[in-house]
Amino acid sequence: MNEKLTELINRLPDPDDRGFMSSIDKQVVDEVAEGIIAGGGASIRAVAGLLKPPAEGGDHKARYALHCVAIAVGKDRDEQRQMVAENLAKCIEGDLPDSVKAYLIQELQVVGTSAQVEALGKFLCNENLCELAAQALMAIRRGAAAQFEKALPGAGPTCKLTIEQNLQLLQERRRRR
Amino acid sequence: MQDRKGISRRRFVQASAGAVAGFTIVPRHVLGQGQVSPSETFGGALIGCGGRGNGTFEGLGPDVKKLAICDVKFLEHADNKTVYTDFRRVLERKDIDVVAIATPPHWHAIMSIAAMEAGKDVLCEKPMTRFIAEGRAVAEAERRTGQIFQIGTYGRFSADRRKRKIMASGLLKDNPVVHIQRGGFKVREWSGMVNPKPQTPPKSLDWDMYCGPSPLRPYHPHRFGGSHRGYWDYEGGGLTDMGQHYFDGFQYAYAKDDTSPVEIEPHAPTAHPEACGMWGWVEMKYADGLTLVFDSGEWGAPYDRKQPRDIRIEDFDSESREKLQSLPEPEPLIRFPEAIRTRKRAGGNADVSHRCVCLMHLANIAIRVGRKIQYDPVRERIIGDDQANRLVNQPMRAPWHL
Repeated sequence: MNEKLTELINRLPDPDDRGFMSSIDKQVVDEVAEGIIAGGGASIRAVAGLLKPPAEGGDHKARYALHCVAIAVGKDRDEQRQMVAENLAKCIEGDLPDSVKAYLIQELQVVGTSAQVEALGKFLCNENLCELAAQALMAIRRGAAAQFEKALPGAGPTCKLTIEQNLQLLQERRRRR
Repeated sequence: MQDRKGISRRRFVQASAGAVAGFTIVPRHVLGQGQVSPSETFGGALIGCGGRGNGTFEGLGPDVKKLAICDVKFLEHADNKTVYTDFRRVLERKDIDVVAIATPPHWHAIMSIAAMEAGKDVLCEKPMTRFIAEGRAVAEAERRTGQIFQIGTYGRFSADRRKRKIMASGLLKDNPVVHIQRGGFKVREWSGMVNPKPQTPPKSLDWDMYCGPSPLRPYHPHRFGGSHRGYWDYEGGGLTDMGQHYFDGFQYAYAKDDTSPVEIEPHAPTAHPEACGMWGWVEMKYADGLTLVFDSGEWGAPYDRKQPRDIRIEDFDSESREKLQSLPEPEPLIRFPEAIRTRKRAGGNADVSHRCVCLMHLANIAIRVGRKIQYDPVRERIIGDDQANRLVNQPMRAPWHL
């Protein structure tokens, strides 16, 4: 990761002695998010590369930075939103621990669109991640049912329950409409 | 004896009250579901035995006998007779008529709906829900089952009834009221940790059941036992926790029990995805022009766009003023102990409590997305912002769902 990006992320607030982000400057947070977005896909992937499993910790700035990016592009910035979501999706397809992918999937629940449902669908048979992937798919909604149907035959007991429940919920919503 | 069929429950209670004086105590369940015993005793259960538990149970009234307690932290001494860890076992009991729910809010909707569907009346600790769609589902369950639901806050019972009469009249066309709540939101106090290191849950705690419909996170003691308030997974910070107290009376007095603000604008930094944190103020506007402001006083510059302004008699034309004189008084509000005896709807029922907690949910959604949102109070959807809308109806972890 380049020095400029490291510097940028380090501008985000440190937690206080209780672990709270009680001292926080909105302008700084917005500037950090915009700086990462301006760096494009490479910046998104670089920040995602800083994430560590929760037991290791110390990555709270990178986690918060990614979330601020996901929020910043959430409305009326379709092109940048796609860029962010696509790169998060690329990251979850890579070689990362499940506990790190869990966070990225959670961010796809925030920013992902129907273009990412296939990437998320690949985790519907992963016992550690199927629940989070299902929740991201349910948030995106469009294209989710096909992913659940595709994953169902290969799912183990935990994932099967999740998939079946969400398929039923989608069917019920369709009926109500 | 007169056939009970065709007699409303209330009339039956009134008729039997005098006739049965001197009878021995008959628990309600002996008479069957939906019947009130002559001695008016009710079997009760407390679900969620933390800090607010006993206080919430007391709200059930003096005629409720505690038959069972339930908490996910009772793994080591649950006997499934009087002490439980799984609320579903409690709801199976026929001798339990009413439940007090004092768990963290991420369980409130699911438990309230399950309890009402099992034929129990519910007193649910505030805040009523964790997100907007839950409240609508609880209100639908209340209507569907005919059970009593009351939220565990009572601001509306001491609210200004004269103001309610005026505001509910429909005589005011453009509402000039600006109501500002300054402070009291415990923003810093009930924030979440952004760097919690996972720990091993205590042996007595069923952590998976605690997380329930929310994501299964690694255990950390700050996510449990009161400080849960600082995490979006379980609540919504001090804003959600205190807000239902403050605005229950406001919603009633200003006759906003059947609607919500249409525009919500925050002054806050982007929120953390898991931990509730700092915010400055939130300005909300109702369709009729009324402005409601939450000013935390804990972050950033204070709110200074408008000054507080209450309703005045000169806001009405002379014809309207005359009409105001002849308006009927508002119906008295029914407290929970009376509601379960008379089967009249409780004053803090699911519909009005849902609309109240929606204020805090909408403010939090605006804080979480860091921008102004527009809300459709009829469809209960955010307009033109799909990211914000994802927070209106959040997915739940299987097997839990609305």
